[in-house]
Amino acid sequence: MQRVKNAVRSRSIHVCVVDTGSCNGCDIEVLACLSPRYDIEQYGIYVHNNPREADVLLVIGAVTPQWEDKLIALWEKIPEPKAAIAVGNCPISGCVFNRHDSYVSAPASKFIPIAAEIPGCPPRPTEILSTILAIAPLAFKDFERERK
Amino acid sequence: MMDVLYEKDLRPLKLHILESPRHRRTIREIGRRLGVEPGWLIRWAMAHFDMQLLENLPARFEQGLAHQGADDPLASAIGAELFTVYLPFFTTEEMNAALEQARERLGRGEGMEAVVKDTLRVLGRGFA
Amino acid sequence: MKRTVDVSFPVGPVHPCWKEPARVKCETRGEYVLRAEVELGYMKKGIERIMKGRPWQEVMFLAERVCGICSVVHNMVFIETMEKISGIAPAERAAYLRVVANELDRIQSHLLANFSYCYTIEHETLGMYLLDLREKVMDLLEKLTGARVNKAYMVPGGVRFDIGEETRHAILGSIPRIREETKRYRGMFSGGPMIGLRSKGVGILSREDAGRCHAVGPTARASGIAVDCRQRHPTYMKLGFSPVVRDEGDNFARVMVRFDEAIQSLSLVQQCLERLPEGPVLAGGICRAGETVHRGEAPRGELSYFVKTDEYGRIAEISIQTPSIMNIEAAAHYMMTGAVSLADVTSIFISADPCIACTER
Ligand code: SF4
Repeated sequence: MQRVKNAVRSRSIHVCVVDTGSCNGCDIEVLACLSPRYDIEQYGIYVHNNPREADVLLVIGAVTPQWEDKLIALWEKIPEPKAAIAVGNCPISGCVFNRHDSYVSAPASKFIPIAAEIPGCPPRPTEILSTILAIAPLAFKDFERERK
Repeated sequence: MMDVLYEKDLRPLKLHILESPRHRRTIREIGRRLGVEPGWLIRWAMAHFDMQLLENLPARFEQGLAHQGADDPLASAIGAELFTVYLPFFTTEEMNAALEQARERLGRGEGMEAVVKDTLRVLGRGFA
Repeated sequence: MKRTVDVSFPVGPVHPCWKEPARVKCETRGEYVLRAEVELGYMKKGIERIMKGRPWQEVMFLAERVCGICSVVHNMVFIETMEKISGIAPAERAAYLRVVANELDRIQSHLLANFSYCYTIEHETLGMYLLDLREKVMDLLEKLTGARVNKAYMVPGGVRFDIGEETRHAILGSIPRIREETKRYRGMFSGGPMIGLRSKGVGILSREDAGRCHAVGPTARASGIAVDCRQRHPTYMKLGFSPVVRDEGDNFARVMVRFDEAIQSLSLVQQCLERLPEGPVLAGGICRAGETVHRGEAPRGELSYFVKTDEYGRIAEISIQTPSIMNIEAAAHYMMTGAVSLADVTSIFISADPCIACTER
């Protein structure tokens, strides 16, 4: 049973993108993954933007005040097993925005556990794609067995 | 009971919008015209305008200044269109009533400048 | 503002069709939208506050990160502002290269906007075609500037590096194909009966309303206002530029204006590259103290920078007015009022090509 689950989970990954105050650069690179050139769906990754059916949360941006509580609430809505990936420098360090006088409170790992990080400003679509593919089997493998 | 997740106190966020140099300049200019302290104006605007309108305040103000009709000198001196259509600080009824009074006073032979100034003061009293 | 309403229907902030978080609260009677209110603050980073007191060399990179989709134009307008303050004239070859980068950026931005629109009205096939075409334009942009999104291609006095003969021919060579495909997709969009049903007559912005909220860019040009800052730009004047205008003012017109502008931009790129003058790409100069306002045409409309510098070229005061501020206002306060169905709210919002990152900075 566990084997079947593992196989299914690594071939059908639902992704939710949440933008917590970015410059939009990473957003469009995630969007570009949808394009026929990279074709994210051929790997069984579906971008739905619906937290309730997501497995992977892509966090973009440097956590603005409005998101501080909502990011946590959003994370709690995602059913187990789940993993969060930080896309771009923004959620990792705050990128250029993490300066004196700005409103952001990076990094995102202050609020939710981040499983993987993709540095770059912005990272290339291929990098985003390969990270999702690499993290999914690792994070979801034998989830039920290990929880016991 | 469900928690209201997205309803938050927006006032600090609105204040952040009004902090940029252009907004500050615009608010000061409007305040000068109406004879209102900028602080009161900001408070009123934050309570009545949504965030997008606040962001757009300077652009609308400029647009309103550029499009003031020349056919009615009194209305354009008071900024009848500017303060109702472009910047919805007053309703059209309020503005029309004020205009009516101002016209009356003009008819009695009072100076244009004083009338305009007084009318704006009276209108501006609503903010404090 | 607290008000008691019939039904307040919130859309967002995390919404399947929206790439960025914003929240629109629609006050409705049945399906009819009476008025809409926008709630922002999800992307407020305070970039203008960070910029204050920093040298232009740093602000240049910050300016790009105001918006990732149209980063070239933010770069360009900021650099042109600095040039205007300090009286630096860009090298001639660089002026043309700037136009090439800017127009390629405009094409990809317009294609992305039209993709979003097609995706929102659930015409995924056309959307995917457009996204694929956009990748081809991104390739050209990467060839020219060396990066996909944040390029920092322009510096005061010119551009960072020259375009090689090979790249020039590569870009020139792929223009006919991109034009061909854009025209084909434009035909698909304008001829599709279902698309017409969901787009024509939906979200109408009248000329007067567009004037009231100072709408700019394709949103204004689709309502019959011929504003375009490129008309006053010296390099564009040499190229004989004239804006694309339509007068329906609905969703359909806005998307069509973007298609037509993309095709127009392709010929601008072609013209630039064909008559690219020889010479250096970097002229000298020193950034000085001063204060000025400079406007440029971003893909979404007029972008203006108010900059005040001190004698070391540091930014003393800066204020950025991005086109999306005006266009989202137009969408929320004029287009949505009177929308006959709540299902149209998303498509109306997307048709104005909103960019929340720009709006909030
Ligand atoms: S990492 Fe860079 S490109 Fe990505 S959102 Fe942040 S500033 Fe923009």
